[in-house]
Amino acid sequence: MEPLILLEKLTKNYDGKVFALDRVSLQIYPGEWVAVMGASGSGKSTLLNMIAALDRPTSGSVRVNGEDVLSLSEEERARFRREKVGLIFQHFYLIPYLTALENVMLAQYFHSVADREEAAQAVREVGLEQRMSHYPSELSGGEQQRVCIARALINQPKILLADEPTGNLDAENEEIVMAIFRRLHRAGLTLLFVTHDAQIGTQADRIIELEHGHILPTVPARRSTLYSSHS
Amino acid sequence: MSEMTRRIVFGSLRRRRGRVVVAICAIALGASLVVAALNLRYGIKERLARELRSYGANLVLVPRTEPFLKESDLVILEDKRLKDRIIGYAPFIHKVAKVGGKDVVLVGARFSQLSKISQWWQIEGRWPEKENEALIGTNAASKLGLRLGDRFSAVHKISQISLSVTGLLHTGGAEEHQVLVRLETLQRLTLLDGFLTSVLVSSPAGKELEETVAILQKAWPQAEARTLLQVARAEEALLARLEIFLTLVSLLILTAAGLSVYATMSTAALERKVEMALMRALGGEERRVAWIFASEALGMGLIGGILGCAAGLLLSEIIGLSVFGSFIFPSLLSLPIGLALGVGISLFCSLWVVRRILALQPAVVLRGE
Repeated sequence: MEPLILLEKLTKNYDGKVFALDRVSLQIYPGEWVAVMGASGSGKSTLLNMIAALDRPTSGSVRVNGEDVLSLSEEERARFRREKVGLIFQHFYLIPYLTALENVMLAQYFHSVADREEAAQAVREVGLEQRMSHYPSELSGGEQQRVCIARALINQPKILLADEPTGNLDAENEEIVMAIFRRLHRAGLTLLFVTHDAQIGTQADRIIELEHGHILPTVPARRSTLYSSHS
Repeated sequence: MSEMTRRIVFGSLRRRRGRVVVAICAIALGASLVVAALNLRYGIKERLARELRSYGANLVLVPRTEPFLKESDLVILEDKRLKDRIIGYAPFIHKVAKVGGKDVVLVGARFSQLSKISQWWQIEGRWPEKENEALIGTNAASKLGLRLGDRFSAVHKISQISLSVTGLLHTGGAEEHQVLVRLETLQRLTLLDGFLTSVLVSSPAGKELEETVAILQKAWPQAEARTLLQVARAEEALLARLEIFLTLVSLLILTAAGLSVYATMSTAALERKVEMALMRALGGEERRVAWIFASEALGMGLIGGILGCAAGLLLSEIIGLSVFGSFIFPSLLSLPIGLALGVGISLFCSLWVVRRILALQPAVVLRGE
């Protein structure tokens, strides 16, 4: 099977000295759930940003769904982001003056045409049918993150990229959000998470640990007790 | 504008109304100052040119070939084409007469018209009102030994008239050697009813004066219009300096207003860099994201520009009223300039900052660098 994401010798350094990523090579297959873990500053978010075409590496290559991300122009990178990836952030990044429904429609608007019914269905699927017309400031952290999930999924991406998706949630909301991810994984969606939470990481098929921009040997998460014992 | 763009733009404007009001005020303030400065630049020049006319005539009409001008031809100066160009005029007849055996220049004038174009004249006593009253220049009074209230006789050929002195005249000019009486009085004395020797005309200085001369020559071919060069040139020089000064002030105000709007709009745009990065992260193309922010800036620029134009007009009229005691005719050019400034600077400043933010990779902005 062809990998959905293929990274080869991916390097990102700042001022030619500080290496956020140092010759990282990685393959992620369709339908796989991968957790990227590591200490703060290990390069987890940088790795995710490179795959999402949100940042440019210093060297190396990134192929997603057969597309060489680095060769794309800025306009093509925007097209790549809206068609291929769904993004979820730790700090949600919802537009404060748009309702929950409109925040989901925003992703449709940049993709093609904002479709209220389709967006409403996406909001229902994350259990927020009663909160569609609420503004982000009127939603709890867990509800905001569920709006982000609906927004990330609305354009049917090939891969869902999440940067510390439960980092700002309490235990109850964390479980609600993780249940949604489990459901998406069962439906066959490829998931790549950045997390420092071992319990979250162990729910993935595979854990990739980063240390000072280097990738450590792959751990099959669900068959390992390494991270759960640390939690 | 699509439904979603409208939602984003109006949602943002409504949500940030405090900041939007501040930005609109900054744009309106800038536009109003520029509109006021431009109006004053044109208005003050025009008003001052008219004010200067109260300090004497700058044109004189004299007979071209005949010895006299016809008084009945004065209706030409009331013609529609000339009326707006002529601030005031005064017809004269000059004749040498004998007073107490001495030659003196008698000037017949319409005092109601003369007083309008000779506002700097100083009169000890009052302007003549009746047929046998006269105004005497201080030098003439000294030469003839006359004082305020004295009566005297003036003789021209075989005619004689008795006059009383109602005022002594100080002008610093030739009038101080003359005796001024009513036009009809001198016409009767000299048997020149309906005739004039000259007409003094006061017209706005500069290019307008040359045009007035040309129109006068055509409309009244029996009269030769001569510019009183010394007066005209002094006025032109003064108005030219005033124009340079007002242009510099307008440019300074334009720069200050531009910088103020730039500071406000760029701060507003910088505050929203995370929104811009998010829109790009969601797949928004740079042009599309820029259009959203440009639409907001355009809206604020239009509202600020219109309010600024209205406020600028009002401001210039208030200044005109307090300085000249009358309204300033607004320069129509100032309104499109004010509006263009509001919209232009608002758009330029906003897009300048938006472009710089959009040039950054979204990840750089989202991680707060």
